[in-house]
Amino acid sequence: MIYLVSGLHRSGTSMMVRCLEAGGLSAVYDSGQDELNLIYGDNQYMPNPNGFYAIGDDGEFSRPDFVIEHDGKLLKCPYNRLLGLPRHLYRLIFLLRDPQEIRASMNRFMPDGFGMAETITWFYDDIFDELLAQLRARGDMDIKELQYADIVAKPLQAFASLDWPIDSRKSTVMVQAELYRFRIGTI
Amino acid sequence: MPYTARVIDKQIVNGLLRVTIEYSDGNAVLVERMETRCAQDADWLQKETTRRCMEIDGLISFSETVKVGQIDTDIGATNVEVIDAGRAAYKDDLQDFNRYLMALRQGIVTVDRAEFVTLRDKLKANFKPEYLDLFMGWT
Repeated sequence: MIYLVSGLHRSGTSMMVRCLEAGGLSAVYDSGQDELNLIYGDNQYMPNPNGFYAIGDDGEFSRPDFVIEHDGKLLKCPYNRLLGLPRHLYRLIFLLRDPQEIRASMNRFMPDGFGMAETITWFYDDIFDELLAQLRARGDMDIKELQYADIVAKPLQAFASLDWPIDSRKSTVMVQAELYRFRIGTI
Repeated sequence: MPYTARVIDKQIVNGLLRVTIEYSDGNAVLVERMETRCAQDADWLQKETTRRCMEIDGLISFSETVKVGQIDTDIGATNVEVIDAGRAAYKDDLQDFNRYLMALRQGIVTVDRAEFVTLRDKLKANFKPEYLDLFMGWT
């Protein structure tokens, strides 16, 4: 079994990995993306103050021994790598967020553009409804969709609903509501 | 349980690498053989066995699309042409939309610009499952 967290950028995926690791899962990540905080952060704003909790994506998610090396572990998987994962047993948390909030967060993080990820925000429901349907059709993924806003509002309830091998209370204390920026109504 | 694959034998025979693969879903077992014939890349085995696993997994539902009896051969070629044209048009519209997004970001157009709204609505209305890859950065 491999535990996965995924979702579009700026949807709380890093937060989720951090919380699940605190809850007891063994997470796999490196510091490769941490420089993004240095490049795009300033005195007023840091994209991910707690880090990105990601691993390099240079064919990592489709290499043959991916499942052997990471069995039993937790990883953040880019949404556009999910369908290409090797056959295995997976439990996936897919984070969802209001696309307007995502766009606002993207624009602050990278004012020059976020590429196709930004385009997706304009067709958010269609794209992810289809992606999740295709992922379910694989037959090897147990998928839980969670709204980022709901996790921040009621974290204990959210983690307890997962039925994952974690201590929900330990995961809950890692949620920092003040890092939920660009909320609808404040944009 | 989904099908998985494992190599159970490999031999070099007459200048070809012959690999014997066992496919299994935990109950049924299939044994098939693959051979290199045209300087395959290092990941050909993984790609082919993954494709084959998904194919075997989908055989039951796929077989339901095959009807016993006379086959209608009159419409096949025309249907393929229509689908390709539709996808090409969608891809062109998506590229136009991305150009509008760039202009939006630069403040050249606003989000209520008629052409932008029309194009967005058109892409939304014409989206099909087979166009998902256009958004995934694979093409």
